Amino acid sequence: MTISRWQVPEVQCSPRICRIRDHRIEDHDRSQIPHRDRVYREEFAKYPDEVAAMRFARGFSRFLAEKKIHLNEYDLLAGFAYRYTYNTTLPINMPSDYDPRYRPDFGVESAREAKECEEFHGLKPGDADYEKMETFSLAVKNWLFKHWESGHILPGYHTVVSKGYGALIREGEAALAKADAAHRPYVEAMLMCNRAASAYIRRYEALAAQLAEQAADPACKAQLQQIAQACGHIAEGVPQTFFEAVQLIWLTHELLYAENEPASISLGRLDQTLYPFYERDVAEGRLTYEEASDYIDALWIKFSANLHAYQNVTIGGMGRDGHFTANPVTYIILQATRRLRFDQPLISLRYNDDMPDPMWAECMALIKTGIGFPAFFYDGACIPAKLRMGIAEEDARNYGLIGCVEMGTPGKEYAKTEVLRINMPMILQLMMNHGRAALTGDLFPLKEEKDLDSIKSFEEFYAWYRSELLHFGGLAMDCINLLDESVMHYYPTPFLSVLMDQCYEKGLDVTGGGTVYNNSGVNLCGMANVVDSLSAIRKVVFEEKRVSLSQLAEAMQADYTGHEDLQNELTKHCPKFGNDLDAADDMMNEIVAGFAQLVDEYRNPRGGKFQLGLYSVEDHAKMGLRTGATPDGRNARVSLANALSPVQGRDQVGPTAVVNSVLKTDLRVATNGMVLDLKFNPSFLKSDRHMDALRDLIDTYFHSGGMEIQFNVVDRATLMDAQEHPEKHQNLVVRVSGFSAYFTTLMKTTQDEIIARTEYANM
Amino acid sequence: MDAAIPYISNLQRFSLDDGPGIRTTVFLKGCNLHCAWCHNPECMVAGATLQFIEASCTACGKCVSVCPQNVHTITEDGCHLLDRTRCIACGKCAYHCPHTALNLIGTLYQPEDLLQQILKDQKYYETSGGGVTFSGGEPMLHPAYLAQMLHMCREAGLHTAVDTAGCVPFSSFEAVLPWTNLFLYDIKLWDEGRHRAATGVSNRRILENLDTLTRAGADVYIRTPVIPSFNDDPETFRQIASFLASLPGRDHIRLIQLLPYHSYGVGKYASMGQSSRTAELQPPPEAFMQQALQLYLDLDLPAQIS
Repeated sequence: MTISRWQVPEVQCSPRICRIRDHRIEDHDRSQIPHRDRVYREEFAKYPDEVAAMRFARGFSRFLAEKKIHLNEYDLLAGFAYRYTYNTTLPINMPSDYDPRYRPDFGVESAREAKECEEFHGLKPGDADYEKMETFSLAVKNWLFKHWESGHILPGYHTVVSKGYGALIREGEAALAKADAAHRPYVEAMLMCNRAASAYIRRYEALAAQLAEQAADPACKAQLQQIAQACGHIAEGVPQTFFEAVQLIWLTHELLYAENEPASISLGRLDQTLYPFYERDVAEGRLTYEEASDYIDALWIKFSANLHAYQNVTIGGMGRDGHFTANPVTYIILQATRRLRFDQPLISLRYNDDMPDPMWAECMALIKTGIGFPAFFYDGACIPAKLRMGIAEEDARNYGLIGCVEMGTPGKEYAKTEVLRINMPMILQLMMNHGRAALTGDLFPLKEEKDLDSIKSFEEFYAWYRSELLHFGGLAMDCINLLDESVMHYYPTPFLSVLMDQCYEKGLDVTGGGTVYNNSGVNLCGMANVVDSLSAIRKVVFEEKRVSLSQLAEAMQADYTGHEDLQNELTKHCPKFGNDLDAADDMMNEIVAGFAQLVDEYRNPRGGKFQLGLYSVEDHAKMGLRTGATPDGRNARVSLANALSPVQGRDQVGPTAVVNSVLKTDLRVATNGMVLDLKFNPSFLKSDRHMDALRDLIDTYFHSGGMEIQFNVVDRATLMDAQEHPEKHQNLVVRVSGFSAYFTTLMKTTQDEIIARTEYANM
Repeated sequence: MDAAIPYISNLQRFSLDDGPGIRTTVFLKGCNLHCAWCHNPECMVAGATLQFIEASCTACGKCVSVCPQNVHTITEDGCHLLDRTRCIACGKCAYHCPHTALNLIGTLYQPEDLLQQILKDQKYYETSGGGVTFSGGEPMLHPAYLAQMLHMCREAGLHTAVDTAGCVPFSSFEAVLPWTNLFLYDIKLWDEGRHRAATGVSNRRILENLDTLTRAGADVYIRTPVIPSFNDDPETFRQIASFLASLPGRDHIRLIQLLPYHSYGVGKYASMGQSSRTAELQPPPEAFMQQALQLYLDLDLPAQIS
């Protein structure tokens, strides 16, 4: 056989890891969720006059003291993985048989938060801000906007690893001594959480010691002793070994899960955080590569319990000397992901031009599994984007990825990256229907109502769209700012604040601007549908005059039933984004640049800026499901385009054309990240020549202004079979947008969207 | 004077198997060989042709209503029948087909327009050491147009390749030689009779042209498809290998690619209203590929399985 230059060794889990992996589901315990909810409610009721931060701290502390902890005799790591994936600010009424698969709709949450916001600001009907908030609530219900507070953080795992909880307690005590009355309760709340964290780790120390006493198997006994010893060290002190550092990171993660919305609690540069411990242990003969691999595998199994949780791990990237840095832990992380093939954690590789070939080979081996990892981020684009936001050079160089693709500074940035998403095609649909949403009839007043047939030129229509986009974008950001102030009042996160730089010092909760960088995100969705729609309107309405705008509006309202010829014209015979056609692609740049200008002008109440994101998580499917027919020929309820990718199936001249189209937009404005997804048939990656070409494609893309790129390697037949026979494909992980997930757990609109993406096969 | 313009079936960007690096492959229609295993049957004829993908057809009948020639019939039980003898390749049905089941294959490009398309991926060629490849069909059937395009591409700084079966007067090679960096040259069979049976033509001129071409100093990749029941015998490969080794210009053979048969082209036959002669074939066994490869390596020839 011909030997591949990109051959890497096969990897498999050790027997002890297999055992943990195969029994992991047994550890999932849903009862934790209603238990936590009840404890918080009771503490809130007991202390009605305290500031929210204190009441939350009391709920957190009591929950940690009471919550069931669990360790199996064969475990490598202490910590209890409980599978909850709901998205909500606490507390809400959580039934005792709560099933995280049926989480509350975002709209329910946002409507409640909007009401609280009105109350907080004393807004009344007739007030301009009141009317805005009411429109906002209705827009969220219609998926014109999506609003999602909190979660999406890069806590300072490296901080607690380098300082230990004890030193943080002492920082808190010093801050308390200096704090004035206004800041005192916030520092107290943080301290209470900080001490609760230490006490919680002590509970595991005791449990592990007790189990070690009883353990019959000598290997298990030794491991339980190691856990007990580790917890003894890290309850207050700093980790002494690689294992202790891993243990501390997991327990800290678990503690964050006990407080925060369990979405996108991301790990930062884990290979950098862990490497000093690895290096020292190996040098002193305490650790082997294989043992370290087992610990990372065990950590991955803990992460895997949190489905759809966007727990992002960043690896690689520029070191202090400006060169790509990879260490054995970087390789272990890629191999652990390849061995286990879970959808969690998400792996993001910071790519540099001097990345060595063996690292590329390891990345390709993982890409070929089809699970969509790693996603590649180019330091040459991401670091300048952060610098543009006023992030200090040292912090910009140390960025990690939050959730999907959002760059943030670990432990220093609270950026609410998912707080707002705007459904761009729905704005176009509203313009064509006197401000009424096609599927609900709800009214959203336009900035400027126009008689469609009075519009004389495409330029006029195009200018109108951009103006309405700014109108709705501005309205949404105004409301996000109103919410920002009330949310920090109602939903503080004192434990997270302990792990974020400067919160103790400033005596401020992280939600109140306590840390160093305090930005807000605003993300666009359905961009390619808008570009294709405008391109179609230009050709069919204004150039060829086949129909008038009002006739097009009528066809859209009928969802193109009875207008199939027109739909065919719009779908097949107009320039589409993603085919390297300037007529379409240039509009993407103009629209994005125009919106970016507005975003640049906005400031939030925490002294931060707004950051623009060109990615869509799974919202392109969810928003599509609620959006009426659009002028690009798309039927109502069909998914919108994923992130900055072309409309599914509309890119017909290959990946270089897609990349060229995307590159015509100045991506430096995407300070909250962007996604470009390419889908390849597995047969494509069978030869070295093709793998070389993929690297050349990535290099060219990055050298020409690209920021992020990711790959799906799966064939359409497999996906269709998985839709038909989910039971046969329980382990099929695919890249959705800025994240991967088990295909069979996705909603059908999302599944259809992934199937419809253009697939590049053997060329 | 501008040359007569041939139909182009496809501009394949991000093409990775027609020469080094990332390339754009331009497929010119029309061929003077009719290889049984051809995987681009849509390029056999020089004119525009209608493709019909039955799997995408919903029998909606749109094509029936727009076709001026009555090519299309939808039967009562929902079968879509085509009378291709009536088709004038006007493309009306393809334009209106809402499901892209009907496509008109064949576009005419002015040389400047074609160049503009090719140049769109110039930065990928530069990163990867790629360029442009003219394939087909038999691109050498259009020597004037081809020479003009190659010349323009070279002027623009591109690496150029021509994928040919070599069965043309050598004067055609002379026309393109100054502007061609690399020839992808097919040697399909050794025995003349078997060659004639499989492709419809003798291989004598093909072998002579290769000799002349390499002696003229042109760089070539030799490509031999390995097709079960047509040429998968060791003797064929022994003969081809020793012929190549004996060429005075053998040093200009930069690479020899043995291409195992694949069935990707089979589905295309039905869509072109033709039947495939190799529908039942399986790819050759790996053991045979290795055996054939060894025959080249034994003669110190730069061969590989692609």
